[in-house]
Amino acid sequence: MATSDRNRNIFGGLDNAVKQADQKGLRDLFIVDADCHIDEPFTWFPKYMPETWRKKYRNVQFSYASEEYEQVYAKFSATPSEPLDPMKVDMMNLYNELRTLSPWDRTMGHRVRRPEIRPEDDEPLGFYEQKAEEIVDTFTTRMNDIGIKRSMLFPNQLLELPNQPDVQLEVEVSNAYIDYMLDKFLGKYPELFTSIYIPSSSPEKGAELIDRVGSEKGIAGILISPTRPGPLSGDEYWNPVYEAARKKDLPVCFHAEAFAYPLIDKFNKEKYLPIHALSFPIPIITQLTSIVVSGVPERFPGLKFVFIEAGVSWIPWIMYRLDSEYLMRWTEAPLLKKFPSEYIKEFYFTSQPLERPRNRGDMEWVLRAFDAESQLLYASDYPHWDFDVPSVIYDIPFLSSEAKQRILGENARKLFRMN
Amino acid sequence: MKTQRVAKISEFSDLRPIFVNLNGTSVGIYKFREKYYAYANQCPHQAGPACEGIVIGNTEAELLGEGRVREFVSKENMNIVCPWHGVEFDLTTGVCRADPRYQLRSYEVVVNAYEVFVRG
Repeated sequence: MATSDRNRNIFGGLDNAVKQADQKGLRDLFIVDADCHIDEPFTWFPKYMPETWRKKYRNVQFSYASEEYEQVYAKFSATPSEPLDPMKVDMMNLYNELRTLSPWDRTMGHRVRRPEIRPEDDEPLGFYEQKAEEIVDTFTTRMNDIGIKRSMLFPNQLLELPNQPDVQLEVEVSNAYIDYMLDKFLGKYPELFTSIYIPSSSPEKGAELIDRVGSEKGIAGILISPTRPGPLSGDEYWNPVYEAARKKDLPVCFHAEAFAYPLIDKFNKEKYLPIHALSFPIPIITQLTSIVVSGVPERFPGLKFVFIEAGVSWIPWIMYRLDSEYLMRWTEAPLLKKFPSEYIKEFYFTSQPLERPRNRGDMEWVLRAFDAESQLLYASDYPHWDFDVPSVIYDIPFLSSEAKQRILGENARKLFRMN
Repeated sequence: MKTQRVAKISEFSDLRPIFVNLNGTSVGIYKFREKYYAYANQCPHQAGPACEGIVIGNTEAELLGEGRVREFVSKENMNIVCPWHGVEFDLTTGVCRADPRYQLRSYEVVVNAYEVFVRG
């Protein structure tokens, strides 16, 4: 099957989101997706590396081994890509066996079956490498079909990179990633933007990378891992990166991920629900707190921060918590000129996965607490398992039409300088 | 109210929906143990194509005493699972297992000696 047909008229595809865009007039708006993902093709990256690194790089394994998944399914006389007969397959045991391969079974034992997560061809569970033409088709055509006009692309496996021990490898891959993106997409398709992945192990090299490519078309921010080892984001260790980003007026993005969440091992027995609920916001909260208390906004005036894929309901909590601590212990944060919450209100946050409080009216209070109308950016996280379609924002009953347009696109357009 | 022919009874197999377009709405019709159920192919969570997902036994748990638990997948209580996010609905009622406020829109199914019809 041609890649361009992957989502069209296929079971589990996006056709219902296209209908929503028709019904709600979403294509008449300027919707920006502030966080969506490509499955970056790692096998392409050596092409953009110095010769000396190519051989070593080829031996690096980032993905889960797909053959192991095939073997598990085979035990149950099933294949990953075929519908299972729940009357014949012991689903509980299948689920438990899959979880032995990874605690992060986002499909919940075969339940989440969108074609992007489980391609209908021979790709098993886990990650795969997207072809460049598929990335272009998805984010210029198919996303436009559901109402999205601009996409801030984030990598996938690359987010895992800080947790491997090879410093130089991280530097080489971060350079190769951005060169690949520039070569294939950025500046070539007005819909596509990305951020510069900053090697956590070397802020100086990160700053050099910002200097080198930060003015290129399609570069809309820099990306720092919130779960990396090493100094927190308020540490002076990061000064070269912040200074370089400020000079280029590039927002500093922290994209949540679960890879290094310290409680993962403890929670494994309890499945992915608690890991996912906690592992995304907690590292983000940690980095945000460090940035505020260490006075980074005072040290680098004008530098903008974006916190991605942690939802929003924790934002009032950390605002109140830090304000209360500051009142008592302000001698420990002498650089601050205002309450921590006032700095937090100047940060940007992406919406996904937007919480659904049982009392839906609670969300009005949450959004008001951090001035969501000017600080919140719609994000889909497509194609990941917990993605949000634009109607998640569009259908919020208490937002004005102007507020919806700002959250769905205008805030991001201005922040990321997307035209 | 429109009555739309779905298929012959013999064309149905348990838990595999047959789709029809009813007044512009995609509707999935299921057979399970000689009974029929029809739902709009639209999830109340985020409008995903719920009927295009798998049908699977409900995951249940029983207390074994002394705080111990046994989890198992039911072969009696079946769920329709939306393929977008995994939200699960009782096959026989369309009611969301986690939050009964979410329900699949249901349709009346009429069966004669040979054929299955849906009304809506």
